[in-house]
Amino acid sequence: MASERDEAKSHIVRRDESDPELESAFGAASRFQLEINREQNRHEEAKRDKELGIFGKLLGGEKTAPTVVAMIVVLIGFGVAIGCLVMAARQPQQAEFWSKQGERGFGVGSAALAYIFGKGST
Amino acid sequence: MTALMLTRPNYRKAEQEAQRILDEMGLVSPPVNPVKISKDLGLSVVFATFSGESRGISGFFDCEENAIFVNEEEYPLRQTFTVAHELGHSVLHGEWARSADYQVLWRDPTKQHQDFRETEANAFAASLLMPRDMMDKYWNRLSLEQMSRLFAVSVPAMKNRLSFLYGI
Repeated sequence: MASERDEAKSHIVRRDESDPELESAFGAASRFQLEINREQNRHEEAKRDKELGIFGKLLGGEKTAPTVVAMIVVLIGFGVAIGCLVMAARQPQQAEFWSKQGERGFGVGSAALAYIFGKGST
Repeated sequence: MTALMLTRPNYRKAEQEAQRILDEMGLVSPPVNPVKISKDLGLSVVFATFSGESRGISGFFDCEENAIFVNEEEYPLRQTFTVAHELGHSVLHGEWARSADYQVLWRDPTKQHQDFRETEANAFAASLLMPRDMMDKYWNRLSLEQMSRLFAVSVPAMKNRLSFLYGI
């Protein structure tokens, strides 16, 4: 007696390697998955923007804000130090005052720079 | 006791085997294409047109050609489950699937022989096409129809899986 499988094989009238309808269903499923991911990303972006607020938008998110603030402090600190050096050269009679302020600015800028590099190495 | 164990479906084994294949192939997001998986595992998939009473067949595994035959006339989203089901037989019940005792898969469930291997193959197919970790990401934000579309399975198959995994 022939097995069910042999009988089924004997009733095959046509064989194909692929099925266009099935391929189209998988294409549609993949596109739908991409659409969902895009929507999810848009949603997360909107949520993040809402959470950040004005300062967040200027300084960045939770992870980047400390580094951005430190960078601003570096620029201000070194800017003050250079400004004080220029003032000291222009006003030699008050050179001591300007050099002290310059040292402070340089100290603050260096500390902020050390923070940035220290954070990067850990 | 041993006889009882041998006739009981081993759902855990079916799920583990499906997950092993997904992991090996690095599949992490839907849709899971069982035709591609079968081909990657060295099996060919044939879309066949049947005549006579065999038109009621969903599909079967043929050891001679090492191929899965699927009814070309079947609805595409049912074909995916059929291919995954037959792949399950090939993976889980290799010896039996090669024997004359093997039964083809019928579209009409009342025609189907009730066998623990059929239940295991169904569990394998469900775990392969609708794995728990992929389902977790979507089940509570998409409708049943959208889930069926995303995972490329029929609505009843998705309904059963949702009910099994989340009790809905």
